[in-house]
Amino acid sequence: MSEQRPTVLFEKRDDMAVVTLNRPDVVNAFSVRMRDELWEVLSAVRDDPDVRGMLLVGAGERGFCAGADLTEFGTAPSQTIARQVRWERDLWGLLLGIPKPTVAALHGYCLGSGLEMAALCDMRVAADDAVFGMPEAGLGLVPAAGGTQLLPRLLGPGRALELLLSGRRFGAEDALAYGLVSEVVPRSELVAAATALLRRVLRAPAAALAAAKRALGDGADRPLAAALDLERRLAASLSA
Amino acid sequence: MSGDAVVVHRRGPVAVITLNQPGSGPDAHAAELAGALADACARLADDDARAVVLTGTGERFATGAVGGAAAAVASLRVPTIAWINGDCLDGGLEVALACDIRVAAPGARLGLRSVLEGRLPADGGTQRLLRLVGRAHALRLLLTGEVIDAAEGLRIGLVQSVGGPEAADELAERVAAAAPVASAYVKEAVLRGADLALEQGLRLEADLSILLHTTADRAKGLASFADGTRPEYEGR
Repeated sequence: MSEQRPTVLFEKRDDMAVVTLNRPDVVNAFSVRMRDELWEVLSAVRDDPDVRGMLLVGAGERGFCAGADLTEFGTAPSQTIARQVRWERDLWGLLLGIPKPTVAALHGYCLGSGLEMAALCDMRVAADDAVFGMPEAGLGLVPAAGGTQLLPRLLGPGRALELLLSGRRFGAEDALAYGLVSEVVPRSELVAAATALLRRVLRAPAAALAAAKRALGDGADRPLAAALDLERRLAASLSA
Repeated sequence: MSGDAVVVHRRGPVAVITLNQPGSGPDAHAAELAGALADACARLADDDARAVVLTGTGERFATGAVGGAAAAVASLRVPTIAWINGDCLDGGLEVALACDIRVAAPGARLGLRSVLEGRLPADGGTQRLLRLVGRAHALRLLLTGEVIDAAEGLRIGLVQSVGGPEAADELAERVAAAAPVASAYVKEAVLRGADLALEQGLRLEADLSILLHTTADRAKGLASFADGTRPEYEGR
């Protein structure tokens, strides 16, 4: 029954897009259908000139997203097809490349690909009931939504390896201490706090926000001299 | 006798390497220790251990110029945990930095003092420290030769937790319960990915993830998840 409803909701609030993972019966487990619907929604967030920033939330009481829908695993046709499908629609590259600020509001279970989706956003706010973890290696899997790349870059390689190799679950206060989230608030205030954060960010002009994202995103991949050159060019393009 | 400097024993799926550096001086038998540790790592490459714990004896993890041993530790495919029981200085810290995860005893001391003596850490210390704790903390520790305690190590990200041997054992057991090929790929994706642009790192991760579809352990892990049992992985 629940599969008749959209698995991803897209709503505009003023100049913000609120994107909701919407499979609450299964803690918003990431499914093939959710992948396809998220692709459409994130493309709209990127392309809609009226949208200046995005809030990503999970529907229901139990959590943001408990990970990939493992009941669908094993249905992939073959390795070559799986690889082709992965790059035909590079969903994680799309999320990472949105030139507008993105904030994830995290409550309850935030596991596996749920945590990875959050890590692909620019900022994260957690409710005090949030539970995080990367269970993949314990299930014979490796993260496939950027977890092995984003977590070391956000938390440092030591903490990232500890979390990825042990699968240990951790709470909101640890997430704050590790630098995974910038703020922990009571569950009832989560959406308001995440909205307020995005609202504060959106006081800046869109071009400056896009340039700042690019300076940090592309700059991190370059030797310092080349990154400084990129920064100069981006700054010049803003004052032009 | 290299057999005395390093002792390896198995505790279930975990291989424990105990560094047993004799003598009291800062460089006591460090070269002998280095050779024995490299030999132990070479033997472990063919072992079926699911995790490796490296630790020391008494008040010492290791100190002095344990030259060349860090590279041997870093080359292990299996997850490695340093249980830093005591003094972890100079080459000893370089060995701990080559491990994937570090757990320190409350009384552990950590530092790279060679610059004070006109030498540069040459077993990966400057590079692994920089990548682990960032530029500011790495420069402070390298240039001052300051020795810090476990709590400060935790604060700057040099160690991932502070606790007794049971904390290290519990972590090792958790790590050893994962599927071995998945763990090795996670380690490869994190460590190789650190040298790549993010887009290239994401490609590496995706390729390793899809390659893993071919393993029997992946099917076993998914089946165990479905029926709520604990998987017995085979490493293939």
